[in-house]
Formats: sequence, structure tokens, C-alpha cells
Amino acid sequence: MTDPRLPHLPDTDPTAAELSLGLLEGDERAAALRRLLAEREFAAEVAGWDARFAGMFATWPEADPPLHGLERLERALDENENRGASSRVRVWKRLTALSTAVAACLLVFLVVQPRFEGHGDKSQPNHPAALLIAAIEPVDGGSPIAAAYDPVSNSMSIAPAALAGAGHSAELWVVGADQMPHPLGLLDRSATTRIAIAIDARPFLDRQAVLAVSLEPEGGSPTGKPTGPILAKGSLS
Amino acid sequence: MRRPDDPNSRDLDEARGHLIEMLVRVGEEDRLAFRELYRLTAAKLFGICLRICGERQSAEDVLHEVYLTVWKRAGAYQPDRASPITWMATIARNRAIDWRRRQHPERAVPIEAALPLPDPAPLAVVKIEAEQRTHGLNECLEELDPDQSEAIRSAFYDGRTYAEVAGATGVPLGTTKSRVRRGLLKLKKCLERD
Repeated sequence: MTDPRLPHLPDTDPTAAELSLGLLEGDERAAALRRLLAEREFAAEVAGWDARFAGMFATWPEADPPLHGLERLERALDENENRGASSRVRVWKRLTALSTAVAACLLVFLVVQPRFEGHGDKSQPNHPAALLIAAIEPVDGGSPIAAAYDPVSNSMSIAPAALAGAGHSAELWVVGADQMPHPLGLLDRSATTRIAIAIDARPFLDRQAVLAVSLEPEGGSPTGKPTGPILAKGSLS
Repeated sequence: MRRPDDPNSRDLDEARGHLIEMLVRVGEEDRLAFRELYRLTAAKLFGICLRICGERQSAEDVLHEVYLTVWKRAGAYQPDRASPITWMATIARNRAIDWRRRQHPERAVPIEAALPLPDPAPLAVVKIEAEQRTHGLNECLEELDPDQSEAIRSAFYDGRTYAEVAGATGVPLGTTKSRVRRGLLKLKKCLERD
């Protein structure tokens, strides 16, 4: 019997199944991953295949997990909490891990954004101030565009982004754990964009999320999903 | 197919409900729930990482990353979209495959090349849950040619790419791709029939 959760699949393209299984590599895999980001129907197809193939997990043999696995995880989570009071130090550490060009662009951006110089609010021990940063790289080359998200104030700042031409807008999306793009806002061409992140987008802004910019008609996508090509993307870290 | 008077079905529903509750609480940064979730699921997720990574140290590191991801993303888990173990197992499998793809292509043939594919017949006692859809999938896989279903199952369980499937069977890459693609399309039609 058909599960109503499973989307109907188009008849001739096996790419979604191939991506779900992991059969693809190299350029084919990269192209399929781009489609995952850009095409809502394709992303839903892949999710449908994930759900179908998941039946095979049932007989997957278990194995005794590493002896101190949980301890190691608890230490890592404790460290995250302890570091919460010093988000600025953490941002510096992460900057040094990036390539020089990307780090330089982010550094300049963060220095001129006074709201990220320090966090006044240390009264929430369960929610460490964890500034997330991204270098959004244009797909056709060019300098990365810096972005910084502050989960404490739920605000994101993005450097000026001259990505869309006249009559168009550059729209910012986050692709989170659900692999669907969620709209965040339109980017300013010549000044820093500041966005107050909507409540329903906040769970998707984590360290694995991908930020993507699409070319849309002036005023943004009329459908709530990307309608134009991806102009730039980067991962939050 | 739900049979509410079947005790096995009832136990599975309870186990699943408990997992959902733990996962939702992990999304609220509940450390006790995280410990309980680990206790319930680590053997399964480590089994996934170990088989795909092919060696223990990397599998342990991947498992660590998987649970950190679960901790960070549990707030985005939606119970009506996916079962909790499917959600977690998919993260584990995808992360293990990412690790595998990053390895140098000339790496020695991994250990699991010698491992047989798991028996398609579901075990009589499944500790965490059994996806009821398994019957549809297994039946449809059986309708394919053996080389097609073997390729699909070794992609899933061993993390094999088309190139690795071709290498293991000695069939040219182009031929492998077209045969497996035909198998996937046939599989799709069969699953929609169910």
C-alpha cells in the first residue's frame, strides 16, 4: 500500500535514487548536490528515496559502540557550554582555520560590525552565545561575501552583495538538516544587510547549514522557494 | 500495516514513541535525554559507521561527529516526517559515506568487501523497530535481476559507488550504470504499485 508521506516520483530520472544510495561520485555527485539545493522537487524525491531505502536499516548488523564514546561526547558538549562566554575567542580561532583570503574578508567584516565585538548577555547558561560565520562564495568566482549570524539576538548581517543585476533581487536562503531551502531575506547591493531571522527559520541555522543566494525577480521569489539560479553559497561554521 | 492487537506491534510503537520523546528533548538541549538516546541507538549507528568506514578508529570518529550532529539538529526533527531511527541512521550513513568519499582512491580494499550483505529477511526480534515498508522494498528488490539488486544493496550497505560496483563485478562502468539505472526505474515502478 502506498505511504501517503512518499512523494510521487517522475518516470525517467534515476538521479535522486542514485544520490540517496551514494552511487555517484566526482562531478556527477557535485551536480546532483547542486540540484538538491536548487530544486525543491528534486530534494523531495531524494527524501522519498531515503524513506524507501530506510527499510534496509532494519537488518543492518549492530556493533558494540566504543567504550568511552559517551564520555567523549559529554566532554565535547561541556566544552561547547564552557566556551559560550567567550564567543569572540572562538570566532578568532575559527578565522585562523579558514584560508587566508576568506579569513581576511570575514575579519574586515566582523571588525566593522560593533554588535559582534562582545556579548553582554551571559545569563543563559543553556544557550551558549555561538556566533556562526560563513563566507558565501559566488559560483562564478569573485570575492566571498561575509555573513555572520548571532543566535542570541537572532540577527544576521551580510556584507554588501552585488550579485543581482537591475530588475532582479538576490535572495538569501538557508538549507538545513531537512535539505529544503528556507527564505531569509533579500540582500542589499551596496550596504550591509541586517536580517532579523524569522522564528521558523532559526532551527535550521546551525553549524552544518548551507547559505545560498538565488537570482529572483525584483522583490524576491513569488513562490516562497527559489525560482532562479544559485548565485553564491557557503557553509555556516 | 498496523495490527493493534499484535503485542510485537505494540512494543514497537512504544519503543518508537520513547525514541521520539528523547529526540525531541535532545532538541531542547536535555543532556539526560541525550544519554538515553545514545544508550538506545549507539549500537545501531556504530554498526552503520563501522561497515561503511571499514575500520574501527575512523568509525569511532564518525560516530562522534554523528551524535554531535544529532545534538545540534534535533531541534529540527519533525516526527511526522520521518521515524526517529531513520532520521538518525540516515545522518550516520551519509556522514560515513562523506568520510569514505574523502579517502584517497588508492586506499586498500576495505575490510567489508569480504562481508556478506545482510540477510533480507527481517530478524524475528528487532530491538528498536522494523519499518513496515521493508516488505514492499524487499519484494520489489527480489523482482530485479540479481546483479541489479546486489548493486543497490551493496551501495546501501557498503557505500559503493558505480565505479566500485563495476570494479567488484568486472563489468564495464558504462554497462554497470545503465543496468543499475534500469533496475532503479523498475524498482520505482514496483514500489509505486505497492
